[in-house]
Amino acid sequence: MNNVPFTSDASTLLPYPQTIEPGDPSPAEIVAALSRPAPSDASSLSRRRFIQAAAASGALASIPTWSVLNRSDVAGAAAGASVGADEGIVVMLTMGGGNDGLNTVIPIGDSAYYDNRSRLAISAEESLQITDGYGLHPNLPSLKQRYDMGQVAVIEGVGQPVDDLSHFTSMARWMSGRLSGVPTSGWMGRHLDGMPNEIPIPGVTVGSSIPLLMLGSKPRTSALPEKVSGLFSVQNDPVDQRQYRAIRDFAGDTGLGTWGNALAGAGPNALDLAGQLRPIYPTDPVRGKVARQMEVIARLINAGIGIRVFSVIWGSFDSHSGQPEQHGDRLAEFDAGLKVFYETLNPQWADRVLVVTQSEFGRRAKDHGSDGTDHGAAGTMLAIGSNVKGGFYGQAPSLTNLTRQDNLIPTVDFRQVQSTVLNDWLAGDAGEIFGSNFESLGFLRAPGTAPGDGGDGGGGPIVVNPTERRNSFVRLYLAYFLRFPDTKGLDYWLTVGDGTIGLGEASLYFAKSAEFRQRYGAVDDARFVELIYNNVLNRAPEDKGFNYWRGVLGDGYSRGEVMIWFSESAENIRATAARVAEYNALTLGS
Amino acid sequence: MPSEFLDVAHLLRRSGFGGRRPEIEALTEMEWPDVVDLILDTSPNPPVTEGVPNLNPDATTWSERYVGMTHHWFERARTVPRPIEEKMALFWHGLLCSGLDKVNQHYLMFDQIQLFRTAGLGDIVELYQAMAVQPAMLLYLDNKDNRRGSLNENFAREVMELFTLGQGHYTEDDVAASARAWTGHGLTSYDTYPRTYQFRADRHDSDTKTFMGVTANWDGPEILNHILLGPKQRDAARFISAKMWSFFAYPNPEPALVDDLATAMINGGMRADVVLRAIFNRPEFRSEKARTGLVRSPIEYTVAALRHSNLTSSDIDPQWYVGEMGQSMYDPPNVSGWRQNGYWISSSAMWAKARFASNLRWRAYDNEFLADSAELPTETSVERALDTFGVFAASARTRASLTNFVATERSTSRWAESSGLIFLSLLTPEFQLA
Repeated sequence: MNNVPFTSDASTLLPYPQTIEPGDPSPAEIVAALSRPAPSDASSLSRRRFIQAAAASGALASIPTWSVLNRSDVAGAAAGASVGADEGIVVMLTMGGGNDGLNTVIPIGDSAYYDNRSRLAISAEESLQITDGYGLHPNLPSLKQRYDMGQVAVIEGVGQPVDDLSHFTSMARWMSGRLSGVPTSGWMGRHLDGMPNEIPIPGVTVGSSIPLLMLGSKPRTSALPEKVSGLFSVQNDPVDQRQYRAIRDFAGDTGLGTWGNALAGAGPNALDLAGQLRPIYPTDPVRGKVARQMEVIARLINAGIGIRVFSVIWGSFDSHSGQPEQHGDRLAEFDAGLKVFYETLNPQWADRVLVVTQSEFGRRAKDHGSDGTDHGAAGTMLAIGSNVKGGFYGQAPSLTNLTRQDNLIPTVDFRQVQSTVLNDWLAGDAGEIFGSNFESLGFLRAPGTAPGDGGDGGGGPIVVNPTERRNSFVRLYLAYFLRFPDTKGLDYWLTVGDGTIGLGEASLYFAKSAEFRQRYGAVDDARFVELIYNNVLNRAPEDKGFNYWRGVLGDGYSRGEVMIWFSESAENIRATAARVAEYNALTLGS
Repeated sequence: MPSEFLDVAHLLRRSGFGGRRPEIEALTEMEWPDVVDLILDTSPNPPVTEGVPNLNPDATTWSERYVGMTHHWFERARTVPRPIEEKMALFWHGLLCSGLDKVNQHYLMFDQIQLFRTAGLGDIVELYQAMAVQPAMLLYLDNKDNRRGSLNENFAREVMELFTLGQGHYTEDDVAASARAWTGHGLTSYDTYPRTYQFRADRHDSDTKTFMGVTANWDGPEILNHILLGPKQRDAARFISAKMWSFFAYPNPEPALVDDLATAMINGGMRADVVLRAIFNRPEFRSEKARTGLVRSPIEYTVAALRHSNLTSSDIDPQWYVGEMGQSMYDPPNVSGWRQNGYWISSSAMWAKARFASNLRWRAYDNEFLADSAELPTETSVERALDTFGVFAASARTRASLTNFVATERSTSRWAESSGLIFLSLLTPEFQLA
């Protein structure tokens, strides 16, 4: 493995000052500074583009609201958007702030690791051991499961070929794929520039702005919200419906000229597009932002609308102090995201999907007195998927021969990993994208369906087991109203909208009912949490749970959303199993 | 002769962020040129030194600085008696672009906008000279790296292409000569605070250069003077006044109109306020084409919404919404600034507007804003809501839609009438137009 040459002075490469702790900007701030607002010109996400994508990929039949579409829109759709059976889809997970590679994939067989990490070392016993010399962080059980299935490549020693400890300049390099100069585009954005126009939405970032990584010279990446409520301001209750009607009534010949008409028409377009995306979005989303984003991505893949590249960024991994908790929490979020992603992903897509993690740098080899680590150099990347050749790649950096700042010396140029993804998975031209060629690291098979697997590339609707769905609604009644559903009411919810209404949507209506408001309407969030612990789970809240749920409400999640999470919690499902069975016996017969 | 109500309303929307009925009515008693003079008189505005946020990077967090500097601008735009000052700052911000993403220091971006605020209506040559050597521009267009023997042409090129002349009015040789003239104009090192302009004679190329046919020992500022005051003056005046007309009236002004504005600019000593006066006094400014010629940019849209609903930046945090709508304050997408009209119309921008409008209506609802709507006759309730948001000439379609909405609310759940009217008023095409 070739060693990466160092240059001594990174400050000459980019115009940013090198900032090293404390007072570092947060990853969100860094990413914000390296992002652009979602492009809002004519070529950004529009209803027409979305329809073209869905029509071209044959996903129309699976989305119930298509029936409302104008036929001519569909007829004009181009062919070729669909992701072919041998094409790859990639999900880029950027861990902002500098992920500690050493405590992610832990070299439990190397005593030097324990010498350097006198405070933060994770023991072999605590770790989830994957090989003789390595264990995973204990919060990564889903990753372990994937590793055991031979679906995880661990690439060690990945870093920049310059000595730079600044979040800004390092992240700018990782995202742009360029070592110097002012970054104006991302390596993935440049790749997307080359995608044919017949693919209406080749790139998606789940979030409100488009990171440098995905920026090209053309607007090929769309920003989609992480929650269905981000699609429009409000929920789908009758009051809102009347307001939507008014917005629709604004449209037409306004007498206000071209732009007046365009603005009046933008309202219904945005409502329609939200309506079309809404069925793809989960109405009872999982908890946690990263998991939510991963769930949305899996569902967008399942919908088969031709998206090739997804981007998610989160943090902060910048664990200067209190690392065990901070780093543990971030990895738990990552693992929960992986879990929900693979639970949601339709298996017929699995052979075409690759998940890659990256971070602007690893962390200092030695820990310090405030239970933290400072900015590092080499880090560890992960590639996950059923066409990944599981195992270890790159070369583990020495834990004894460190840089003068006690950092791991990179052994793999980050662009070599990015090139491998571009060339081997996305059929791209890394030489053109990076301006130089890198040898493939060889951790990928070609994307595509395994022999005999029979995938057809069509994607399909999420199938929910009707019995499970019914039970969920019964539990929701019990949670909300402390009573069995009235048969008529339950029938209504199970059949309205051709049986497509989700628990989440129903919950928002439940939360507006007089019965619920009478019980909980006047109380503040703290009392509300206490009451639902008592009423739903039949117990007093423990401090941690109490604070957590208060925080969730404080973050802007609605009581209706919180009710679902209580109702569908494992604890409640167990506790109500007998009552649900009782109700089913009463109403369905035995 | 008194002025027309709708004309004055239009002037206050374009020169500021929208007027309220009483102030418009008061102005209608004046002659039109006097109204124009009045709105151009910025002397009643509080001094720009008032309420300046702390942007010292050693004393504040990144977020505090960003929130501080954005709220400062939103609040000034919302409250100063003569918002033309803020409107021109926004204009120059979109023309003489620098962006936070590259400048990377809040105080330097803030200083640039302060310059646009204080000098934005005055002598354009002075403004350009000051802009050229401010740290924000030296960083944004890389002139700090422009050294004798190691040229960086970025600033030299963009000054001509995007700030003064447009392509076709200069050659590549002119760009190279200008770049040489600008060598050595840099700033103090990154570890100084605050960073300031610094001329380094050892980096400056003091040999003779030939710029636009004139061979001399050109220095950067002389190049700028030559462009703005020399033989290219009319081209520069046409370029800048066309940009101003597009920003205040409608895009792509007729060539004869641009000629007139350029003449006014030159005869008036290259002052921005002279051009503004010429623009607002043109009959075309009050034409139907101008009236419906512009879509409010996200910043204009959110400031107008705050202004008409008596809410503050702290109530809403508009800085996050404008980004989602496509216009991050202090951070244009690139050196050519923001485009107009169609650039602001998309589904994702509409979603963001709707989220903003929804948030705003609950804050306004908490303040019992329009709370008596349901007690008014239906038509009056609609009329009053539109009037409150500065929509004085709604289309029949908009009126019918809102009237139907109110009537339906009254037959169902009356509580949602006032909040619904606030939400919907903000989403009418009339309110979204500039």
